[in-house]
Amino acid sequence: MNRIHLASWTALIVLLAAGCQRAEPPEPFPQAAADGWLAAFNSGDVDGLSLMYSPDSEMLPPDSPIITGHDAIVEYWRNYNPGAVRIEISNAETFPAGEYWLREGSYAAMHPEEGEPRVGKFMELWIRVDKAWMLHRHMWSPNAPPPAEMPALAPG
Amino acid sequence: MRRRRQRCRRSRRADARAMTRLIARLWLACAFAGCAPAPVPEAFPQERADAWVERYALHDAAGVAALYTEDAQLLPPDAEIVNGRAAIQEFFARENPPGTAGVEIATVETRVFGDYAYRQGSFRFKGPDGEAVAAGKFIELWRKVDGEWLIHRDIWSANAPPPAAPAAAGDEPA
Repeated sequence: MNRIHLASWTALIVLLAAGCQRAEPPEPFPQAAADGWLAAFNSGDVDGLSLMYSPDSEMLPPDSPIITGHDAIVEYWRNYNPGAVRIEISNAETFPAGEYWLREGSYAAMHPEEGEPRVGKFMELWIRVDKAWMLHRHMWSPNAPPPAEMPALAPG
Repeated sequence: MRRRRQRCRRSRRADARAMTRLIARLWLACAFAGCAPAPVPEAFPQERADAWVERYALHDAAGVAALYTEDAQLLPPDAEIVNGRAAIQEFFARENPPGTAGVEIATVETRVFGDYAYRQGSFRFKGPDGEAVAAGKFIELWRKVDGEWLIHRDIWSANAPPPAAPAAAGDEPA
């Protein structure tokens, strides 16, 4: 009987360790981080933007190859000169995805010297790195080709 | 001899009952303590993704649209969001009529989380001679609906502006 008790306890401890995990309640979408990205972009704060991307993040801009890695993304934004363009987000929808959050929505980007904003849509994958939520994948595209006569604000 | 066997049998039965009780108690304790059996990670539904390519190659707009949820959204470049399966079918009927170039798709990364799955990949449109005429990247959000994996959100864009178009001007992010 003692042996059975010992064996059952051992088996259960192993089972618990291997097949049982703490059921964590799902964390809400990190709206504060998303708002932080927007505030950094609209104020032209590239250093602030640099804090918003995971070390192995990827950015997938339209008509451009994928920008891979945190440093390359920061360089992209440095060249882009955010702050000259102001963005508003609308119709955002979020999807819980394990340890990630996915967000999709629309944007309106007001460029200087243009009367109407350029509108488009985006998809983001957020990941928690230590205690901070960061963009892990970031993709967007406009709803219409950009005006040809406008000065280029994006590299390439 | 017979008594010993009976004693032995009774003892085995008692042991089995004790063990069952022990297991039940511990699992109960585990459940109350907030533990749950770790979900077995499901594989990405690659055969559904392959079906998309097959149906697209056949210019089967209805077949392609059937791989999307009823309230799916396409997020095509330089176009507005396409909402819902019926509109998605119209989109593919318009954008991929018979005679158009085929597409090659490569999966780069997949993640499956419960009833959602994520796929990132690349695509190449091929001309009539089989040469790539355009290349790009995509992200898809899949959703399991009534046990069936379907695409729920689908965004893509080219890796370069179209050759005839002027250079990209201010592709704003969000």
